[in-house]
Amino acid sequence: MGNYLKKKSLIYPLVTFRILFGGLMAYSAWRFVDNGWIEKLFFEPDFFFKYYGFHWVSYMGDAWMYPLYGIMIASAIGIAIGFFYRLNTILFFLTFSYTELLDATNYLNHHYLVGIFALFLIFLPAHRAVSLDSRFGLVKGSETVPSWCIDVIKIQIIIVYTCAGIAKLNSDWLIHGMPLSIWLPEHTDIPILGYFFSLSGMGLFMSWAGALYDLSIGYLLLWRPTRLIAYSLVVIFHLLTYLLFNIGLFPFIMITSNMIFFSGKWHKRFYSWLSLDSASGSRHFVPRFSRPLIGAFVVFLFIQAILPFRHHLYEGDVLWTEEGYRFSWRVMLVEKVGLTTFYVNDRATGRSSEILNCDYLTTFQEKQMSIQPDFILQFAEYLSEHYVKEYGFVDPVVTADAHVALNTRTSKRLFSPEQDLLSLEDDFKHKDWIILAER
Amino acid sequence: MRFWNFAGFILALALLISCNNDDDLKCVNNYDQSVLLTNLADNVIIPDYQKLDESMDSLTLELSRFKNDPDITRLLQVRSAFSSAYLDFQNVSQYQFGPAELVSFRSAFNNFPLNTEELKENISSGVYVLDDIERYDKGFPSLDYILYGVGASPSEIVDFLMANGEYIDYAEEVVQHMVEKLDFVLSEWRVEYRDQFIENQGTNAGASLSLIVNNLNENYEISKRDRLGIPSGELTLNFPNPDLVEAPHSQLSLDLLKVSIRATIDFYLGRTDDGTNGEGLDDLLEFIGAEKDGRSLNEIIQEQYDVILQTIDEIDGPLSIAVEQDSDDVIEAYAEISRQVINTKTDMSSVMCITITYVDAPSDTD
Repeated sequence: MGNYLKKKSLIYPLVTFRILFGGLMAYSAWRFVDNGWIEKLFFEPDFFFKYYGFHWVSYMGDAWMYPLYGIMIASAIGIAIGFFYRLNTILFFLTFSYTELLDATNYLNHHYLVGIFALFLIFLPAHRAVSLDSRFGLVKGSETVPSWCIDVIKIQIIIVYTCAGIAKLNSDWLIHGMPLSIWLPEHTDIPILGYFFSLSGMGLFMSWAGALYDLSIGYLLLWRPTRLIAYSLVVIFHLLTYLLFNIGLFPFIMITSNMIFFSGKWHKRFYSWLSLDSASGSRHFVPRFSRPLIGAFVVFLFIQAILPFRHHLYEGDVLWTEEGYRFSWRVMLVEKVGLTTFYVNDRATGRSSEILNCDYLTTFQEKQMSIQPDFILQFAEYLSEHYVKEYGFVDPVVTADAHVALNTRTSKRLFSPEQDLLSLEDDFKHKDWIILAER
Repeated sequence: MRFWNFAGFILALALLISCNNDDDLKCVNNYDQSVLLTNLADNVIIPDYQKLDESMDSLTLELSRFKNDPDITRLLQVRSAFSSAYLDFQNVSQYQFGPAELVSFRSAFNNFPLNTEELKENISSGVYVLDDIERYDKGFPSLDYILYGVGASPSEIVDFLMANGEYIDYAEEVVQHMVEKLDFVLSEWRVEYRDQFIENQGTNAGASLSLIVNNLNENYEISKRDRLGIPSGELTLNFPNPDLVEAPHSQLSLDLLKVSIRATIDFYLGRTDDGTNGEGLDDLLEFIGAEKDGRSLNEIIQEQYDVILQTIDEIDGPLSIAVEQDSDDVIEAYAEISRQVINTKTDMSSVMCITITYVDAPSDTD
């Protein structure tokens, strides 16, 4: 173990990771602005859903959002070119996390992964070579770093794939080929490939292929004899998902970050060819506070490895209750639609009203709310406050008629329409008011 | 080598399961959508537009007759043409896709409730843009006011309209505006869109089946909310809003609601004007074998439609009075209409493997 911690590696895989990650993130933030998503996701809503424990993250106001994204883009470019690297990694992490925490509606697994990578980069010496910092002498150039600085990223990637694979080991995915059998026939217009998507066994075949890919790819990348073929699979798999699904830059995040599995020499050839390997022959760099840092990484990765399995602590099917669903690499796992109609009632006056969700939520928020019980509670709370404030409710009761349909099934009730939602508290305990559904 | 053996074994297993998959959890791909789409296009949608086209022609004619020689008899003839056209419009209100979507057909015809102030402002200033879909100053609601609302009795109205000729001019322009939209939509359906519609098969978001299910539901939910929900007070703390009913002056509200619901049923069943029940969504549901709580989803939906029609029949019209004086019946009808949404919106689209696109994600998914 002691030997492993002292083991050196060429820095170049980390450098490639830094440059491509920074570049992609700059483009990603720009794309966000360019697509008008700042207006759609932040200006339009009157109300934001929050993550448990992060209700304190408040919206700074519309005027701040464009400058914030400006900082995000600039800091991402700073990461890519390795200029004021430490400051920029911190700035990127903070701006990115802040915008993610604003509205839990927008939760995406790959954004979560970006947040983790950004956090890692703050503490990793990825700017010690092929960077403006080292070129200008702001930091001393180094050609080697401790191997663990590169391996922590590999471990994180392996955790992501493995957990995504394990999450697919459920009967809908493996026996019914759901939800891919719903989604693939929607793409029969793609040339050549489209024909295959119309075949009836295709959803199931792709489900198995996807599960096997996720379960094995991390290890195949790790093992040198299979690495090249594994990386080809990475490219094919993720480009296919890019073609089929509306998943933004996720395929490119994975295609680029997986290059970290290639050896330092493999990466170095490229930089030598560009004459960018000026750090060649320079001294070995060991991060300050190495021991506590390694300790923190170990704890973090351990949590990462067990967090996706917390749903076993809850009763019922995680795809139905959504308890333990987030932060668990459940990617493209289910086709779920809900219909939730809220009712407010003032016990003091007997006045009641059905709620039109669209008066308060964007269509996207409504869609997400209808399938996630903790959002339903948050919205009920919001409605109660709104009716107390605007309509002078004295003793409000909020109920909802909630139905959810999963993977081509007809819908089932999520909880009793009599349930007083204001009497419930969102916490980490099992939500025993949810009616468990058999799949 | 051992790895490839293992991979081969897994592959064989996957193929085996895929061939023996006799569970009901699947998207049907052996249903011939062209029969359904052809029936809906040729026997439901296009005839509905044609019918509206005829009644709009007679409305145009009656209006110009009245303008040339206004009297009570001619006013009553215009009104009768207006009623038929308004009722016929309810059938096509739900076909808001393809050419109709392109020209914002529904808002040209029926943005309600009318903004009377805006309407008067338009007429007196003579400056307005009828194509502005955000404005509630046109279509049948504006005619409802001009033909029924500018005086207490037909003779008063005739007097008013004779003294204020610009009202009839505005009515003619509004009708002309609607006719232009309708001409475009109908000719598109006749020339090109019919074939496109029938060929556009599959389950993706832009496919005809998805357009049908989405628009049937969207129009139905508009009916639920605007025709009954808001007037009844169910959405406004039990305070009824009699003035917000559809067609408050002509008091056609209840008839319009009934026709609108019947139109939805015909669309669902693929039923033609003469009562022939052709291929419709009901047949597709039966083909899929969709069940809910052990019962046929199609049967549940049809039974619920029957209940809805019965409860609406219980209401003593006109609706603007019923929302206050017969509120129990109104509320019950509203509750039954609401109960159907889960069946046709959530369940039907789920078993048909269609996504509801009028509530869609603005950004990426994962």
